[in-house]
Amino acid sequence: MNEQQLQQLGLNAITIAIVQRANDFFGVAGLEGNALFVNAAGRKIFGLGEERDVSDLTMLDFIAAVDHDVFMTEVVAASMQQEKVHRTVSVRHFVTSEVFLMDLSFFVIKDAEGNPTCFMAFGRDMRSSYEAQELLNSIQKNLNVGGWQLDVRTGHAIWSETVYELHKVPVGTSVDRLNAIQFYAEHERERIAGVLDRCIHSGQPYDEEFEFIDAEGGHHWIRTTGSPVYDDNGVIHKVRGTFQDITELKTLETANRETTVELEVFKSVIENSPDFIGIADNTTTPIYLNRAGRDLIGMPQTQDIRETSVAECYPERIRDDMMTEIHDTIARGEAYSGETRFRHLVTDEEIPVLDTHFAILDSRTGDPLGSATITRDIRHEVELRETLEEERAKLAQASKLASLGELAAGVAHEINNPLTVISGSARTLSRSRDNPAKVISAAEKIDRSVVRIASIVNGLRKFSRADEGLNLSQVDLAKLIPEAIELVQARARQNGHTMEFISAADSVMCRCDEIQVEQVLVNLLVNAVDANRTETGSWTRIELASDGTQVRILVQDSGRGIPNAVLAKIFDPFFTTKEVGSGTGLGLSISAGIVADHGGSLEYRLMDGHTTFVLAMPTAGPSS
Amino acid sequence: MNKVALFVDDEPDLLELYEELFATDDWDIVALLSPIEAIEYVASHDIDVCFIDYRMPELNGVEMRAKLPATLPCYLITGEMDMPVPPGFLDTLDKPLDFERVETILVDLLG
Repeated sequence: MNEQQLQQLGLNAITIAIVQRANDFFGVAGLEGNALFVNAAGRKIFGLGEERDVSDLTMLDFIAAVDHDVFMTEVVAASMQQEKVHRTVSVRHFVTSEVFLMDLSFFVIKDAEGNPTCFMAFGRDMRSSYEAQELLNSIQKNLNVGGWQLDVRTGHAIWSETVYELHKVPVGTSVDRLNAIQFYAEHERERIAGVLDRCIHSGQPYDEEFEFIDAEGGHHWIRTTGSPVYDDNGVIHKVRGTFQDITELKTLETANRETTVELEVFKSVIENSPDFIGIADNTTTPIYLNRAGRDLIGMPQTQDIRETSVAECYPERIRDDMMTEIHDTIARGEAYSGETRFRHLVTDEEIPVLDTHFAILDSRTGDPLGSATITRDIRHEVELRETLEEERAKLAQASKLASLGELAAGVAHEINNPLTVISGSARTLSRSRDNPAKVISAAEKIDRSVVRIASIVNGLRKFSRADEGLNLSQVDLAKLIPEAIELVQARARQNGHTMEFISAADSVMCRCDEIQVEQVLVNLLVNAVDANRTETGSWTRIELASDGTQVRILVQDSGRGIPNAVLAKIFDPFFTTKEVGSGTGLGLSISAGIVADHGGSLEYRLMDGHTTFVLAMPTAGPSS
Repeated sequence: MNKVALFVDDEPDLLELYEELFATDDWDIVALLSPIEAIEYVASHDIDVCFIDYRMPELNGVEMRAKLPATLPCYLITGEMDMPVPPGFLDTLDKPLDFERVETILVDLLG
């Protein structure tokens, strides 16, 4: 059908021009349903080419199969009775077979006598608005949020699809204010009515959470908002708002409450900890102290913790120092930890404690929220330690005796040797009266032997002396070391072990306990000899140097270092690599203790690939 | 031909004395510092008696004795106190040495 034929149907040129340029579908069909004309927009919407002859098509070809019956009865048949039928129907795309909605205006054209001549239809492609609606619905469904509106005057409500679904009520069911409120849990009804009324009467918007029961009895948490809509006269005639299922969020809140329960567990753990655990705010005001903490300082469990202060937990004599130190340490961002004394608030008794203080920081901002104190009562440990200290002193003495015993055999040999020389020389003297050279040689031998014996006896004398604390005096280490070497010489010689002493100066003075330092040296030397007893040509080199404030004694032997497995334990009491019965294992631990008493250090190092012990001590002696 | 007595000790002063005190018309004294050297010496020389110090580097007197011919008469000179006579030795001679005892041994060995 062309434009001319359209004109014959009574459409004038202007109308035809409009129809052709319209964005909506326009079609004409014969009374038998045969298609006569489809405008440009219609061809586009249905996927018909511009030149496609439509005379072979019927109206039903445009309608989706699902709506054929509806179309025939509610549109075509109905149009005979009415001026115009308005109906949304499902139509189909000719190329893709896609089904989509079309808002159809359908009417019958009649001639002057009132006889039908043809059908005409305008149709709006609802895809875009339909899809937008679908999109909105889908968003609403996903968020479980819908929209509603209440007509204040009629009390009639309009709900979005989602709101219907949330109420479990068929879409389109008529609702009003009264039955809407019935869905709220009984105890909530007064509140929802209240906020709604306030909105209606004073324009106050609301955003509230309610317990809600759907038509099937399901319990939900919903969040609903409402705001007033004003008419032209400034009168509130509608209230419009959203309606959202927040049951899931509420579940999360419940989970949060459960986390709170977990916190309770933590709190209970802290409360029952055997350690003193306290928390103070940023002004060092105590805000919490657990049960053990209260017990430790003698504070009743029920007393308000703010009635005391952190400072009061320390004995007065150390209070200011402690507070300064703790404060400074925490201010530096470090944790304070140290042994100190707490004070019993009632008895004033001092309690040895291991005290820890640290800042509590906001995990998000890093800002200090306060500080925490974890303090352990170490009365028992301190007692134990004192006992151990006594034991150590006893063991030190025992060890000294043990090393004395070990040395005795060698020393006897060392003394008996020069004695033999003296005795022999005496014999030579008596026989060589006429040979001055022999006399002189014998006299020299006697002299050397006496010096040697004296040196050995001197060393022994020192060893046998009991020690009570440090007996400090100015000691020339350049002389002490050779004496120590002398004591070990016999053992060394027996093992073919040579000892070399190198001193940076003829005299190296150090304020120390001569006997104890010699004991350390003998220990180191005996170890050096014993460690190399299976090696031939083994040696020990002792180097002495001083920078005026510190002396350094290097005891290096030909051994190639201490195996790592052994290294960690060498300073442990009772650790020994020597055969059973040949070493007590107390040597190095006691030596280290003695050196520490002198304010010095005894360290193992691998120097030039050789086992080396470095003994360093302040020349002025221990500081206190 | 003189008999030969070997003294082994790591103390040079003593060796010097042994040479001075025990050399006689009948006895030649060989005094050596090293037990290893002494073992080698015994292997290549005729020795009639051996006096060995106990405490020496390289080998002690007992260890050294084990490397000498079993037939060689040996005495152990020792500074250790109360040392029993180890196998292979005729006797131990304690230090400080009883020189007359050694002289007696040497005389007795002349038969």
